Amino acid sequence: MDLWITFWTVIILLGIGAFVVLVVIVIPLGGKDVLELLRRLGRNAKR
Amino acid sequence: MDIDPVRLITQFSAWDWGIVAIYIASIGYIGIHVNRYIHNVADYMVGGRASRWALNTASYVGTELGLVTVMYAAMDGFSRGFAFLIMPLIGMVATFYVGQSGLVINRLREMELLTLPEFFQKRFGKEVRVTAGIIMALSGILNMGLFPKMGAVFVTYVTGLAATPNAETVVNIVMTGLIILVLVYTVMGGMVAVIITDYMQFVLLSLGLLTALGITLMADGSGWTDMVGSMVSAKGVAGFNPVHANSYGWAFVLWMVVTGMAVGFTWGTTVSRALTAESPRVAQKTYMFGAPGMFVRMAIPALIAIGAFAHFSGDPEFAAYFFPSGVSEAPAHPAQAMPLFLGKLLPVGLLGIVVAGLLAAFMSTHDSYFLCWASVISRDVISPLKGRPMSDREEILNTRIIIVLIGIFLLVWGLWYDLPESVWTYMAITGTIYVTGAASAIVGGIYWKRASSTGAMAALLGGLLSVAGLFLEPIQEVLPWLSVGVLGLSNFFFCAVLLVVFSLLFPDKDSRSTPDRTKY
Repeated sequence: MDLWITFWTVIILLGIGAFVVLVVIVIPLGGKDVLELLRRLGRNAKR
Repeated sequence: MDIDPVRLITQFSAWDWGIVAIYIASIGYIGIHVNRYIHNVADYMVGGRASRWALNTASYVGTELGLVTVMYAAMDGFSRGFAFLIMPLIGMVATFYVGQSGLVINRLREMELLTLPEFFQKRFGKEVRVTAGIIMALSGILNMGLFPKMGAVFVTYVTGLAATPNAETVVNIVMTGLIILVLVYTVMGGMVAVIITDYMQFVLLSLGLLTALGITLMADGSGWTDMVGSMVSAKGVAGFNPVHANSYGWAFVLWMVVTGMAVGFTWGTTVSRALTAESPRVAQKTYMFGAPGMFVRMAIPALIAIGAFAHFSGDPEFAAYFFPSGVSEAPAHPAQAMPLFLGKLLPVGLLGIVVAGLLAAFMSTHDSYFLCWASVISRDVISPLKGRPMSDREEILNTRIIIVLIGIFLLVWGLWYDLPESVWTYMAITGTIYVTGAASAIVGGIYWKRASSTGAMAALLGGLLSVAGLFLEPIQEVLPWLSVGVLGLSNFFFCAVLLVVFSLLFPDKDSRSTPDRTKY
């Protein structure tokens, strides 16, 4: 039982930790990409 | 056993309703605003294939992190405890592997497809494409059949609207409103709107869920020690060990490993993020970077639900309502536990943000699914059967009409069908109706030159056997050893055998391993 509790504790810390890193990177870069996506679609429309 | 409606009142206030209203109005405005960027069918269906890795990753996680995911993960977390965490763990590892190896998705993106069944035409011909399209859309629409009902249960219980003698009617009214909202939004905006709202939802929900988990862990009666302690005393090892006889068992877990891999490259909405990527490399990055999201989308709701388990099992009135047969047995009303717990735990303001984020998640999943299945029916079933390519205008109009029809089906299905105890199992079964056959046909089609159109057709039709999982009880009276896991796992094997045997028996006359067979 103790092994399972330790296993899930480690997995939860690793999984959520990796997600926090992802959030910190993706939020600013994704915002930039949204603006770029709209610019590109707008440019395509003018052609 | 019924409960006094007063106990269902939550902290959801006028401020929280205000936050939700502002958020919904904002994304409604975006849906209408981005319509002016849509000039052809590629813009509408795959966002012009112009999505870069960070946005595509946010959109990928946003699509997968639906309110429905949150609900079914919470239901199984509440019923099965920490053992459920094996599902998000499998999802994370499988997604990372598909991204890192580029398995299938690389080739699919290189082919510049708009929908996945186009692959079947390029490789196997029109008949296989139409068959795949029909099975994919049927499986997908059936799979989302319970989405609106679960979303409505969440909204009704988290906001305290359930505190009336007739909560079921409130759930149905809320469900109708939610379906109308999503229909209007999806029909207006298409994929560009989907990608942008997925991003907004990713921001709001990732921060909201992480905060909600933090508050759950710090609260009296639902912290980490309470979670572990309540599970140990209620379920014993079965609350932690997923392969334990009283938990999922080996067959179910192995079935999930295979399904987790297969979903990554066969499921329409998942693959659509590979197709919207700027390049094959970006498609791979999307999966690799999105992998932690595949863990968190189920693990956080499950952990909050385990917190709810600890909280409610310590309250005599709620314990009698949720655990009429005792805490070690399957709970009653598992869908209501997590939203009710959040509604009572989170402070005003944060509750509004989390609910707005989850409503956005609801919309994001629905618009992606609506768009995906409607595109498949329009482009991969109707268009090939017509025998001529449709104009962009015609195709967008068809897609919009089909979206409305799917919405009507969901409303009827949601009103008629009661939520089962494990929505996760329902979704796994309905999804694999298509996934089992498609996985063999796609992998064989890409990596095995001798795979023939007859073999692919046999594999796709063989996948239909998975539907037996929905009617397992009478079958188990004759075959008591046949569990959902054994059925699902053996069906993957069966479809692979069908592909190989029928391909060898009925090889294609011409070489179809070289595209392009898309013209009709």
